Amino acid sequence: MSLAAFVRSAAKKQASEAILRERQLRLSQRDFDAFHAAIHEPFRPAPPLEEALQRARSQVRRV
Amino acid sequence: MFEEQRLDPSRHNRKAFRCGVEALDRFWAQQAGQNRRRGFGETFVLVEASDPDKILGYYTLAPAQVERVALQPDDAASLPLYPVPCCRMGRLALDLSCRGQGLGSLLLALAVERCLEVRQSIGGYALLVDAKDEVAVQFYAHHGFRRFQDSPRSLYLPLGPQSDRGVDSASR
Repeated sequence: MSLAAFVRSAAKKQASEAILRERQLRLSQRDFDAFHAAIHEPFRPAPPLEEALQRARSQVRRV
Repeated sequence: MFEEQRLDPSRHNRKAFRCGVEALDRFWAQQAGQNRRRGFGETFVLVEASDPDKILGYYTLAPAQVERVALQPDDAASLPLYPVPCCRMGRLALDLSCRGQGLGSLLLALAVERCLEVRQSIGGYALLVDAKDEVAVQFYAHHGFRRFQDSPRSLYLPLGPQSDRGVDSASR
């Protein structure tokens, strides 16, 4: 492998590792257990979020 | 009336936008377009319909996944497949001139709405955010995001089981 090819492949590997890091969240056992339970609850927005969702639906045209 | 648009570097005037947080402003000036090409995610901007050149704020969304640190061999067999697919809002910023009008909440709601649609079509169990400071943590917590005990700067909003979303959308 030429030096240039090596540098290119190392840079590519680094970039894909950066994407992977950005995409992964690693949780402790207790956080994962709480998270896992929470995602099985029905979606019920807190009042401030519900209010903002209503405003978004009435005041924002999405393109 | 407002409009939400996908960031288009050839059309949106990014130079006029400043939120006052240096890291966010640098990202905005240099990387928002690159990020999309590299697959880090999409950027969406909020503008006034009557003044579409002026960007009021933006957020970015990307796919993400949640895993646990160490899997004990004993529980591994009894649990469903991991990692858990999610959405991550990497950034949310508001122009300095737009503070105090609830537009941060509005941007957050637009991101949540988009994630609920993603949830419905291709899955995504929660919206993840990384808060840059305690003020940001409070902002997300106020809107119902939950904290992790061992990852204090990350928060998440559970989006509900998929069947729920169907019921919700139908009743809207």
